[in-house]
Amino acid sequence: MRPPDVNVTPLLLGETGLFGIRTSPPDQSCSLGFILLNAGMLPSVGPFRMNVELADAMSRLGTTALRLDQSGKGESPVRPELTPADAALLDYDEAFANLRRCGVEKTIIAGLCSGAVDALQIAAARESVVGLVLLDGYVEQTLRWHLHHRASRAALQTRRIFSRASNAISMGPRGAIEHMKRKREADSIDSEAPILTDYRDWETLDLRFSYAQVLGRGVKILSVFSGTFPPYNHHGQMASFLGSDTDTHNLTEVFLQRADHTYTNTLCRRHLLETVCGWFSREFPK
Amino acid sequence: MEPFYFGANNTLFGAYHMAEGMPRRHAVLIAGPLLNEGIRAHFALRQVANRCAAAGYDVLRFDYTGLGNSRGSSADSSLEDWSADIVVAAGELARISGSPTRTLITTRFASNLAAGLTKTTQIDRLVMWDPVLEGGHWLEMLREGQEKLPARLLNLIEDQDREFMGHITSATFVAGLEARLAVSLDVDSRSAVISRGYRHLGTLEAVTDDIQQVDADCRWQANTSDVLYPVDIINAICARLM
Repeated sequence: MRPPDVNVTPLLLGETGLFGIRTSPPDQSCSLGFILLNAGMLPSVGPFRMNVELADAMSRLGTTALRLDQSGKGESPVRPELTPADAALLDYDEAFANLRRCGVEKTIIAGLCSGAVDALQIAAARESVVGLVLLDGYVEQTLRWHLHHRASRAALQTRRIFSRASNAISMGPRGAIEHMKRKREADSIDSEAPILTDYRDWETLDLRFSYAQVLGRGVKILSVFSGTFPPYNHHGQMASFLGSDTDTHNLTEVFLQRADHTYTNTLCRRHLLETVCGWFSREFPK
Repeated sequence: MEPFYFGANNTLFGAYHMAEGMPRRHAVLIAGPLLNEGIRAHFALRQVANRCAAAGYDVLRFDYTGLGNSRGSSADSSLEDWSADIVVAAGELARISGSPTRTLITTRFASNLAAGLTKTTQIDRLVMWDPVLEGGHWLEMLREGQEKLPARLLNLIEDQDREFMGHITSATFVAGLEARLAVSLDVDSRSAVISRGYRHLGTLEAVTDDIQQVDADCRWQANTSDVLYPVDIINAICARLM
């Protein structure tokens, strides 16, 4: 095995024993910490171990990274006495307190899906946050979203009609019936799977205000969207959703159209890693 | 729960659940599944560990080299490495718990990988969750999961023989799986808890006749990130220890 180029330390934080793994560069780290939150209910390793790869990469760039299991997720116990929003803030405070002992003064928070919403809410409440990496974070549908959506649906339906006609001709009537039966079975299995909204409680929050607030404070945001995130379908939608009233010069919007929501593919994860590391090096030069 | 690193160069991640209340002087090692199955099953196996610890067992969960919180990369880890990890974890559990009797809980292909441990170490009881005892069977399911990926993602896979479930595996992974036939498990007490749609009953029945079928769908062959929380399976596994 290759010698470790970063140091890893498992942590139990605070009185409740919040779990995290701190990843530090072997030499002197900079005063910026990088905190990774859970993606949905997945443990702190993230989907397909993405958070481990991100933490290692950010440590190689000189930051101290902390992969956190938020209350009630992964290895961490729940905080039944607190609301989810209050628990997320207390989780952050405990993680930040640990990082401060390693010389960290300011933080960047990263999260995917529900983790991105938590990261935004924490940044709105804590001035120690100077950067956000939001993967498939909150965005609203704009007029242009609807135009793109209708155009892509029309194109898809046209392709389906041609594809079905061509399949029916090549399979013959009996083959076509068998094919439809198999497809119906497959659809019924898929319908049991949880959907994105199972992990969300965003609708009641005023997240547009939170974006405006943190951007107004000078927080730098990298907002990355995948190609299978229904509320987002074209580059520029994020800035458009925030509107001209919001100062967006600290917002970097990236559309990784080939990636899926949880970055199943290793090539897409590599692109994501390069995107995040490139943004960090540009926005937070040494 | 006490998290720590152990093994050569402290690269293996362990989560030790110390026995609560009246200790039974009985240790439980949980060998979880590999690759993405391990991430999906994490929550369920943590529940098993918590409940066993509450019932007086010392429990160790661990992550294989290059997977989960352990150091290294799956691309550099062989099936032999992962098999050896189980032996190292069993040794660590014996050392920290001092318990004279041991139960091993294996999930999926860990049931095959654990054969080395059951031959060399004193394991009193083996409980398997949806065991896959033959490498060929698991490879078949991995490839099936791959085929279920949308074409746009499938086309992005750089090496179809090395990338499974969103993880790059070693160059010898496929050949290694094909060479891993059904194993003999030298444990007196062997049992299995299986979910709906379990496919390898014939191979399993050659190993144990104590099999409990539970009405839960784990969708192991799906290439998803959905977290498994099959309550009835967790109850069935725990019931076998209590």
